[in-house]
Amino acid sequence: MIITKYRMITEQGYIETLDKKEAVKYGNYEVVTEEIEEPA
Amino acid sequence: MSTINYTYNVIVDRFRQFADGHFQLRRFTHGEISQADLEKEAEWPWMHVKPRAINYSPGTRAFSFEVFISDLPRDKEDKTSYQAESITDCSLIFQDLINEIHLGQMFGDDVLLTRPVNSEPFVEQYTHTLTGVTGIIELSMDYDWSACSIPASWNYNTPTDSPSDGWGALQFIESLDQNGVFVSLLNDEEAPGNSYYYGTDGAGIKGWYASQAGAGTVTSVDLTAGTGISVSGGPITSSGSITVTNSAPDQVVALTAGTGITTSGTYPNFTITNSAPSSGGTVTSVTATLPISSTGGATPNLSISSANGTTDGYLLSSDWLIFNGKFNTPSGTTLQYLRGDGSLATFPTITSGTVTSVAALTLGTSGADLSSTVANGTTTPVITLNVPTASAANRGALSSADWTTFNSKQAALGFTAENTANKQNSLDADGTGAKFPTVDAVNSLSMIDRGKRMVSFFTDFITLIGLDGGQSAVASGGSSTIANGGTIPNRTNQQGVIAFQTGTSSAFGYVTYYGSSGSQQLWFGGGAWNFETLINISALSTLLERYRLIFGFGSVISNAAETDGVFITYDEGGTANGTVASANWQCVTVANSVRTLTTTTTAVTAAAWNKLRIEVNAAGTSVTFYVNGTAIATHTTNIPLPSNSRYFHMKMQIAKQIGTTSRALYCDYVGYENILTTPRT
Repeated sequence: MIITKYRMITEQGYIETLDKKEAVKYGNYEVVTEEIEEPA
Repeated sequence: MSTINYTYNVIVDRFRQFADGHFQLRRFTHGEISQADLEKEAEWPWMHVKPRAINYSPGTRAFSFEVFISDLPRDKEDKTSYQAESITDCSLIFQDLINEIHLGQMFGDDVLLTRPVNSEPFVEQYTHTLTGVTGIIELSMDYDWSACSIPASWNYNTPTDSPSDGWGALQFIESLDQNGVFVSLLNDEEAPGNSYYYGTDGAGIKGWYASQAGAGTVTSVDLTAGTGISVSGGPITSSGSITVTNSAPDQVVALTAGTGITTSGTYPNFTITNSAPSSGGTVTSVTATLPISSTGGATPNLSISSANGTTDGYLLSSDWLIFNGKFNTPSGTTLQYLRGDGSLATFPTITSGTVTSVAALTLGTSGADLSSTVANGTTTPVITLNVPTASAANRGALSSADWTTFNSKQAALGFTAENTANKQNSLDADGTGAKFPTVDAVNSLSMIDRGKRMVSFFTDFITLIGLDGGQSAVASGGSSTIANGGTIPNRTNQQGVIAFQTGTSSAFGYVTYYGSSGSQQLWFGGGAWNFETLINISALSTLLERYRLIFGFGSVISNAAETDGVFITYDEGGTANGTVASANWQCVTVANSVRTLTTTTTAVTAAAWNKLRIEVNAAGTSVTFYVNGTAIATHTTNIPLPSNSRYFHMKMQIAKQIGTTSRALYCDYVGYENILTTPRT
């Protein structure tokens, strides 16, 4: 399964969120997609 | 007798007429042939006449000429044939010439050609390499030797001592002694001698008179003016006068005598007298009295130093300015005073009264703070000071009762007091019981009492992994080995060390040490969590031997990315878990694959023991990561919580990514604990 995350860039790293609104509100973010295992 | 005077010029002209009239000749010249042969654009055949001689004999005059008839034959092909043809043509022309002279009208009968006439051929001669003939022609004619028509007038009377050049002294009498006629001078002398002239004396008598020795003839006279003199009218060359004028007449001279000097006399002689001469003598030494000093001797150097606080001397200009700037002596009266700006002012008139008596302070206790009042301030002041008794509300004097109370209080403890409110809660089931007064009281609790409050695990790797309390290890291309004491790196006080080592056959080998058999049975939010381990890595990760480390809590036992977890990781290549390539420690919280990452500024060190610690608050809303006791990051997001169905287990892992060289992770101990917010019953 591929999930889409919104990575908000911080001074030393990042904080990811699935809430795009939160990322847009934060401002400095990038869209990240990642394949993960299907939940059991 | 010919009527034509055959001069050289006439004869040459007749030769020119012959050449001009001859049909073959193209050019005529006369003179030196070397000059006539220089023309570059000449035409041929050419006739040239060169004079040789003119001879005179009784009744006859003869002119002799050398005649050249020449041509310029072609010098190509048959050269000699052309030369022969040229000689032939030129000799025929020469023959035409002598025939015309002898029998023709060229000179008629007045001139005779001397015969025989000889001619001579020449080949390649002269400047233009000419060919032709040359011959001598001599012409004779009558000559009468007449001197009548000579255009001249001569005096052939020559001095008797005339040298060959015709010049000399004239003996006048003799020279004019001709045909019996004598001409002579009055009183003439045959040899008057040197420096005599013929003239008249003072009486007008003619004769030879001696001239003055060295005398000459003055032709011009002039005067040169000296200083103060001017001259006009000169020079005089015949007669006249020269005027001499004194342009700077004599001046009146007066001498003024100074002190001790008298003057007398008139121009040009004056007498100056020292009327008060000194007593005589010569200065031989000069001394001086301070502040003037002298170098002594007959030529002393006198000097004076500048004055200062200790030395007399001259006043420096700078000091003069200072002194000049000082206050002048006040010129006021006794009713005035000198103000700061130097001006005078009159003392003000005092209109208030005069204090004549001051009483002692009057004490009081009224009010809530110290205060004072003054009555009769200008006459007989009465000052009242109120000091209330000190209390929680009043500032004032300490009462004796309070002093006794304070004096009875506890002396200094000598140690830091401990608040029992900070003691561990009692082990009552509701967790709200009285605090334990001492640590010993906690330690004395029964194990079951402590177990009610805590979930904990700790291993010092003294025993095999499978015997240390339910933790497990999985190795894929690696191994976990209890280290022999001699193989413990950087050993100080480490007892019981395990070595997790990657294998050499696969580039992706890993070893995972984990709890609860891989089941994600642990969760945050029910109390504070602490994780701690002491580790030592053999070598840092590199591009060619790359690996990563995980310490803390995770959700998988393989080397796949963690779905849920809270951990510290070393991932130099940024290979998993959303990390970046960094040589520093990185901290991750991840819930359902959504992460928070901090790449710290703390570098990972090899061949050294490092204590890694993770603290999670009781609510599971904040995580702080530590390296060797220093907080390196705090996360408050993406922490796995049971409210979101996120669970985990303890995890420690080394996973190789590149290269087959074994890398080792040494661990002295690992433990974790969960202090339950709500103790178990």
